[in-house]
Amino acid sequence: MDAADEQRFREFVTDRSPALMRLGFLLTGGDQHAAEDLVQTALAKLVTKWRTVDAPEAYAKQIMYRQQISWWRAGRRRVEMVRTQAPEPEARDRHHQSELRMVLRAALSRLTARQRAVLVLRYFEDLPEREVAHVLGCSVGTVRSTAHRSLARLREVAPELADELEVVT
Amino acid sequence: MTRLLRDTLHEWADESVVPHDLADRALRRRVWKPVGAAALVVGLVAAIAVFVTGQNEPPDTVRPAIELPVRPSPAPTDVRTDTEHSPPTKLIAAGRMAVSAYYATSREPVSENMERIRRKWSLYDPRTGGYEQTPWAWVDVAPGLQVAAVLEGDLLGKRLGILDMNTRQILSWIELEQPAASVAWSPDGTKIVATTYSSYPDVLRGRGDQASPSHDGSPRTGYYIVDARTGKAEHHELAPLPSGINLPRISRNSPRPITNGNGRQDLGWSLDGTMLWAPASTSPDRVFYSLDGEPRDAPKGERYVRGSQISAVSPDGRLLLGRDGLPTKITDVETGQVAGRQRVLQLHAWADDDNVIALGCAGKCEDEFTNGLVLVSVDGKRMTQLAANRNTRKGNWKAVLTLR
Repeated sequence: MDAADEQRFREFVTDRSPALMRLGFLLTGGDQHAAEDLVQTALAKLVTKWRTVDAPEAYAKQIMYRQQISWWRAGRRRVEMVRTQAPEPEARDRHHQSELRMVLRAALSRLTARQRAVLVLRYFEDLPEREVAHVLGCSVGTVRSTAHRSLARLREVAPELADELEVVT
Repeated sequence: MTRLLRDTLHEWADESVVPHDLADRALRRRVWKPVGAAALVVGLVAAIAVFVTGQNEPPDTVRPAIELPVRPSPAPTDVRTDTEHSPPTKLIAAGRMAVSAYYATSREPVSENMERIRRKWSLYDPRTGGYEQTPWAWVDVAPGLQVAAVLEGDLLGKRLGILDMNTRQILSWIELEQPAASVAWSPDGTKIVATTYSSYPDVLRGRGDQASPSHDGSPRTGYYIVDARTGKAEHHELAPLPSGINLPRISRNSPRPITNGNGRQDLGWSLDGTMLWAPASTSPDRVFYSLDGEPRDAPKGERYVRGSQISAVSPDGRLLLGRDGLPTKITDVETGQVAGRQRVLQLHAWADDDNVIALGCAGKCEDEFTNGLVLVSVDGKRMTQLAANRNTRKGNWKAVLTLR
């Protein structure tokens, strides 16, 4: 990598790191430090292929998805942040939706890395099942069944979400 | 309702913070390949260090470690008692040691002829000066009483929390792949050993008075060594000691096998923190391992109170706590001569060079089942009641002593 390449790489990181960090944050269940580890690992690999990769952001994201699942499988220890406190009871009625979102976050953070990745790809990145399968390197059937299990798990972890998540397919 | 899921994900992602130096980090950590290796003289290639980031290996961490609260210096040494309540509601402490936690046990049936023991843990709460009942499966307070390791789960736990004793906030959660049934801090308060089991180990065969250790073999699988600051946890397999029931008959001249009939075989730290030990039912009462799980000789000069991680040697190194008895005795480390006898049941820990926290008996010791914590002098002449007497047949709570 020469000086010009390095300059272009730095510009790419400056421009796209917010998106990558947002993705990393979700994939790691809201762990800022783990998200930083994940993004910088993806970027370190991207650097080595900088001259040959056509779509650097897609490439970095694909590494992040697969790497996070790989670390999770390998038993990498994660340090979770202290959860944000739920709203006080008197505020709950007024903020029912925001409370549900807090509950959903907590439930999402308890999924496996693969389950969370599938939901993030489908509902954060808005990718169709076929593309989710391509990114994760699995079949469409696997994506479908994983999404189904992920939602079932969310309902199991947080029964109060059952109604809200019932019709998601 | 995909709306809720989408909204939640986008709102949550907004909370991420973008570090300013991601490009620098990536460039520093880029994968080095042997570019131009062909131009190198054959033979030198092998000497070239080639660093490749493994696909499955976590990267060098840049995760900021959590700050563990600082131990007080000097540590308090005053005597604190609660002789009115059993279990205690106020801190019990004397000299260098304090009751950092206690647990009460109860039994519950698991089948027609099996029972299990459940512990309910109460933890010292510096905010109130008393104890707070907790939902944790296991608790251990680090020396200094500033931070505790707690195991989240029902009987077994797969999440290990580092709890700030003063704020009552969990500083970090560490996920464990294998379930653990106990945690113990290293003497320097930086590491935790979490003993892992394939199933809950405190199971008894029989019911009620007839219940006894099952001797089916312990379900221990190994242990984690956890760095409390970074959250890094490494698992090591370590088979349990055999129960001794099904061991083949040995000749009279063979060394007696080291066994343990209990399902629970939790690991502890050597006093210097360089080794681990596992409890044995035989004598000596423990076997030592390196932190990697390799068998080791016992550390020289270390003497333990039986079954505990506490030193039997006085802080000044002169005297040695004796075994259970009525009376008990304390001897000179070097000469073995008796330095004093005490009318107590068990000697638990040195409060200072002259006084010991012990299990005393109520009244005239007619009934050894009624007892309570006392502070007794080496010569046995001075005794201070620290905790109320309790009848261990009617309900049981057990104190855990920790350096202040």
